[in-house]
Amino acid sequence: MFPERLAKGYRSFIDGRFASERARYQELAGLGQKPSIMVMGCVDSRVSPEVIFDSAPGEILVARNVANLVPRYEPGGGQHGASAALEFAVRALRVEHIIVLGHALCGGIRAFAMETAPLSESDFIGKWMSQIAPAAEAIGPMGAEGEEAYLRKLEFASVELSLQNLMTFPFVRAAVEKGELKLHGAYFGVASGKLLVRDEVTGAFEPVEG
Amino acid sequence: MSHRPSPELDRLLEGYARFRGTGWSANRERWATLKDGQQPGVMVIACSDSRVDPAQIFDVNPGEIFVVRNVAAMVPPFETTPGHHGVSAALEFAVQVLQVQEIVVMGHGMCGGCKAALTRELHGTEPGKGGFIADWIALLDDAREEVVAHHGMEGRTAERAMEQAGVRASLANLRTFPCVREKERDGSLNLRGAFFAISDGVLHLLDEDTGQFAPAS
Repeated sequence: MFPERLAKGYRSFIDGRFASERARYQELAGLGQKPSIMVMGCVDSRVSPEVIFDSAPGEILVARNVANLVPRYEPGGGQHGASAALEFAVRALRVEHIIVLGHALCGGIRAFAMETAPLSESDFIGKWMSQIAPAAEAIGPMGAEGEEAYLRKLEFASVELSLQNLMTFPFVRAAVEKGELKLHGAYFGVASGKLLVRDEVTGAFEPVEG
Repeated sequence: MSHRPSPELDRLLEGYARFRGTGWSANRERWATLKDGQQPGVMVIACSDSRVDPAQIFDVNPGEIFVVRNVAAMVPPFETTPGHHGVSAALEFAVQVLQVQEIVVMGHGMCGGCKAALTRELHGTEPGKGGFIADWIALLDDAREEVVAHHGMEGRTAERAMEQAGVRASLANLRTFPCVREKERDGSLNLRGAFFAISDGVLHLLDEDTGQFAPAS
């Protein structure tokens, strides 16, 4: 059985969005996609980029992994899902913007910070999240600010790290330097519903109007 | 999102303003419960393609589906080699921590990743020039052989066969994970394959007994 909730939702999609945007879907199928924005988001069920940006089909290319991480450029050796998506976005689709979208209450960030015990021998979450060690180092250990404030700081710092990692990809760096591509950091406050955007000059995450 | 004007980003932020105006305020109660944690019952593995967002296609509310998106909606097989296994980490999180009851792998029509897997046009390119995509979609090499044998490398029939074979390959790879196998055996987890045809909006579901996809009713 296909999940009933999804089957019901799909019927509502067909009667609603698809019915009203049929021409757009047909055009998108015929001409192919040409999104100008890529979003690197988290797998978390509360932070769908298309929901937060109320975007239409065809507008944003989306990669989602645990804690919206961009790995460092690492040619050779293994399959890199995020690197493949990035290469597709920048080289094939020539997107003009990449947004790393972090969020509050991120389970991956928490697992790293709290040194959660491995869930299996393979410890996939632990290995994956170990990528943010440089972000944790950059902000220093948890002090008097308390757990919540520390986790928020780490969530911001890991967006920052992903932005730095993006620049380790030669083709990203080249496009940025030519002015063809811009990188942005953003952060969705799940409890407040507010979007913060990283100021590219100060590096601070500031609310935007909305 | 930058100091320089950009129509694309303006559009995104207008979308955010609409979300604040409708998506957020109309669902304030729902969001209030979500701040205490997520409890999605379903994990969806879908493609990065801008036309196939599962939250739109399944018209779900925030908090309902846990979503991985990568090129061609792929799941690599279970392996314990060192390295960063993005999908494996997400799978571990969904299955072991959140204990989702369903995993849906959703492929789609006109998939650029599947097409490149079929033609092998990026085979042998350097990283940054197609090499990352080539390595990633090499996961489909076995599935490709069969498709090429039956349908050749060109045309929509071959492409669709590749897109659907990709879904079957990801389902097979999901079952190489011990935690997935165990939970599927004891009935606490179901796996489903799906395929979204963009032009007519039709969702197809995989019947694993026959190996065929048929339109969802």
